[in-house]
Amino acid sequence: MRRSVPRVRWQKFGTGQLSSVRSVVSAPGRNLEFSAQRNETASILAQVGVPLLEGAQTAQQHAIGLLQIAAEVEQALMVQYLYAATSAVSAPDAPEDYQKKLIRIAVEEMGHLATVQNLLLLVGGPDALHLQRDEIRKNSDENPIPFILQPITRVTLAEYVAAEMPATVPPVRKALVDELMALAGSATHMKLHRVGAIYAVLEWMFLPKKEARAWIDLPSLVSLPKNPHITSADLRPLEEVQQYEAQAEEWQVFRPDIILATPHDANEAVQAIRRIAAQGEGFDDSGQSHFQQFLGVVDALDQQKLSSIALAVSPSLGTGNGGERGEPISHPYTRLWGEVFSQQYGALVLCIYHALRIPRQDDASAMRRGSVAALAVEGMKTIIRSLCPLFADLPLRSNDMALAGPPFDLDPSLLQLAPEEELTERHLTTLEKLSILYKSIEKAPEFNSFPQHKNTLDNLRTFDEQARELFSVPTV
Amino acid sequence: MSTAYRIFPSIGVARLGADGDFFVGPEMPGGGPTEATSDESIVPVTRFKDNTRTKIRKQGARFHLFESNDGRTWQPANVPPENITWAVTLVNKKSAVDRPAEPPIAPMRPNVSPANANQVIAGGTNSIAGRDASSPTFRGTYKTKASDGSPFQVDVELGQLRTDSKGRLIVLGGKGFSSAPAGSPLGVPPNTYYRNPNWHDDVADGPVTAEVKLNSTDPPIKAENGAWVIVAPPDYAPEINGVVTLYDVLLQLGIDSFGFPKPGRPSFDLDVAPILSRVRRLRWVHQNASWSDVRLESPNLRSRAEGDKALREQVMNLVLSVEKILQGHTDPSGPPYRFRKFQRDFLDSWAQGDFDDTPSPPASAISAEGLTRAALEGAVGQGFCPGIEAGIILLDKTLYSAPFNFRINHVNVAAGDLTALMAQPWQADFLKCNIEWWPTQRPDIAPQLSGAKLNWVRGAGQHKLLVQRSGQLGFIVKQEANEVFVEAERDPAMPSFP
Repeated sequence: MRRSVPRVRWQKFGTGQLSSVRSVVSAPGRNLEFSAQRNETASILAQVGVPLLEGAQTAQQHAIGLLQIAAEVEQALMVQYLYAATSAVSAPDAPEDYQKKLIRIAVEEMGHLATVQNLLLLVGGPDALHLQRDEIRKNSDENPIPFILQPITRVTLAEYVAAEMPATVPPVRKALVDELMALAGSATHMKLHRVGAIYAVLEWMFLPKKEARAWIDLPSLVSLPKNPHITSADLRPLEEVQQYEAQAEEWQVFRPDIILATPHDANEAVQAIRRIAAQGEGFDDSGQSHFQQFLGVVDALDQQKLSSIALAVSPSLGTGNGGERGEPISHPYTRLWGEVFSQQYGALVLCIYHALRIPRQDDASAMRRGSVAALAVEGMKTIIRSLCPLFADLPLRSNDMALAGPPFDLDPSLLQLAPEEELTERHLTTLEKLSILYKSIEKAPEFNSFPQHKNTLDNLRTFDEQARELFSVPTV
Repeated sequence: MSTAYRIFPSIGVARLGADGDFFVGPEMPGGGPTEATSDESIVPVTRFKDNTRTKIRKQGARFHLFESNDGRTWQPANVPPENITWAVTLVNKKSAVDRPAEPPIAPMRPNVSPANANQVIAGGTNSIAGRDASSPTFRGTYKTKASDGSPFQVDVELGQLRTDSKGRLIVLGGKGFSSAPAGSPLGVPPNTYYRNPNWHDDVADGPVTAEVKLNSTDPPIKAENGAWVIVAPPDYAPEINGVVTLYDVLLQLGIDSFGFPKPGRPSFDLDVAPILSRVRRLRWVHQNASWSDVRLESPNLRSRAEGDKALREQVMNLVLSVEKILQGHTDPSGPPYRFRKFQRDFLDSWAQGDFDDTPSPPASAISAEGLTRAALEGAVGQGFCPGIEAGIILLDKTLYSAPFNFRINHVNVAAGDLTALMAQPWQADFLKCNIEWWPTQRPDIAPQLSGAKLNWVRGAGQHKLLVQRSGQLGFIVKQEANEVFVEAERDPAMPSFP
């Protein structure tokens, strides 16, 4: 039976109550910059509200709810950045490849997503793992990141800068950032700082009580459980965590900028959250944060080192599971490829979820888990990346030249909690659907107009065959 | 003009192997490694490992002495082997150099801080002369400290010199030995595929010199500007070359920076067909349907007819798609995977029908220039992240002697410099860099006789396992005269997972 979709609410408190906020200037080891950042965080929480899980009775329940919405945010951001990357064209004399830069940021979001899954595992066990993208975000009173697929423009970059903005902006960039915030603010769907608020509250909950209260006396500001901090009693047994956690080697994480933390206690959870926040969506900022990188992309656009293919906004299959505020793909040939893309994307997310759900109990299960993870990594590297550019040549509609874009519709039923046998069946069902779609594409009158599409289909079939072989083996 | 001597190839490539037996690297363009015959016969290698299938045979880099009386034409030196003294220095400084977290995106000279000097594995210099001779082993000591501060020290063999019955020098490399203090992490954060502190391996590089003593009274004559040897990791698909090779990279550098003559109108057989062949052969090591596209096999590709122009253009675009499918560097500011300009010019001219279609058989005899070309065509020239045999440092024009003839300047370059900033250890890179990187040296797939394509690295799919089991992996080799390659000599005792 499908569980009810959780809902996050942002509880407001008045700025007059900020006198309850105490800085940690006097605490040993703290520096003024950190303290100022903490004060800034508190001010932002006052503006946007404190995100909390509706109906949660314990710190553990709040943490699980917030981590699950954080997981959805990370996936939504990753996909939006991949879409933006699909539209990016670097000038021949550009100092870097901006498409690769945006893909790199998307891969870093993937690392955040994996780390959030490990945090969910720590507090909620394997049943808490969450690879949905649209459920809690849409169900919550303030969707922290609307899922809108957009080609690169100054406005979309402004939105990404806003989404990744730290609490304190470097002075040298303030003028540009202010301009971009004004631009982003005029796009009605952006809600600044809501994502950072999620990570701030999570950090607060995992901190020891004394340290957390020294930062912000949240219980005096909003309604929280009697014991609002995560304690060791709330954490899952280490043996279980280690059986299920996503590990760097398994997921072929080989770059130092990709964060895939494996926290085993509350302190390590705090460190993991801070690393995510510093790189991406929190109020901290590292030198190579997404915020800084997106500012670099804005510079490139302004200096004409980067241009954009005019892909559609939120092209979808009209299922309600795709990009918001866009247009369904109606050109029949493009639609076939759009369905292929969405099925492959769904299969990829299912693959990730499936791998994470297999414990490393013995050699056989470790082997199976590793094989499913390897398939997911190969899918990310080869299938998704090779399919995205296809849509830069395909029309959205039948009667004009407007381009489509990869649709990223994601069927939530693929990712509902289920025993492994059922997850395997979902793979095989998806493979059957894909097989039928490929045949339809080959029969379409437009097929021969695109010489590369035959090779693309051959590659897809080869990849699918690997998947079919893997998932046709009985589960352990 | 008095007789001058030069060593060819100007840069030779040896490869690691635990077996004491060896073959030699390619000596004719378009050819693969050959058995070290003492006559001029070319015997292709059919066995790359020992009988246990756990030890890889070393690839020796064979150096020939050539002579010239006019400075332009070079023929094998007519000097008794006893009158030629070869000398080689081998050093591995990978662990000692200041190393960024990811490979450099521009040529960077390695720097060894004094505090790290102990981590240099100095194999020393060996000399050798005469026929069928052997030198002492190049041995160095690797010293470091474990994470608890306790000292760690291990002896490392970097190779040996041999001469064949004609007195030609053969440089053999190490055994493929990588190690570190117990518990040193490998390939997992905060370490990477490229940087793993405290790990060493046994690749190496260094200068090769030759002196000719014609008689007892005259001073010895040095071979002009010497040569260089790189001892690289094994090439597990030795007859499948990179689409862009180190020869291509160095030739373009010579054209751009030294006025080296630019190739003229391309010959289909000698200039275009090799590129097409290398793209076609990718199908045996890399999973992409493009390489099996039937248009790549069309006999009309050598036709200059206007009616075949559309086919040539389609195939050119297919070939150029390598630039999108394989990667140049992980860093967006890093050099993307690119054909060299002269290669693009060849392809453009060919597509337009402006090429020489005169049948031109491949080289059937060893030549000076052919030795250098063959050696460097066996090494990958893209992507430099960091690469396999040698990396982006090779784009530094100050490495080379002038006038340019692919020769490293012994004054400007120290032993160990060319391999210093390659992956530490090489196995860390080999594991992680699948799909988009160097399938011609580190295959993605292992085609079977049944037609199935398995994961080549199966059974060694974790960092420390690959260090242990790199000798057990299979080689992708040609089946007799057919253009069919399959996995061979994989250790049957090796598990199929991870």
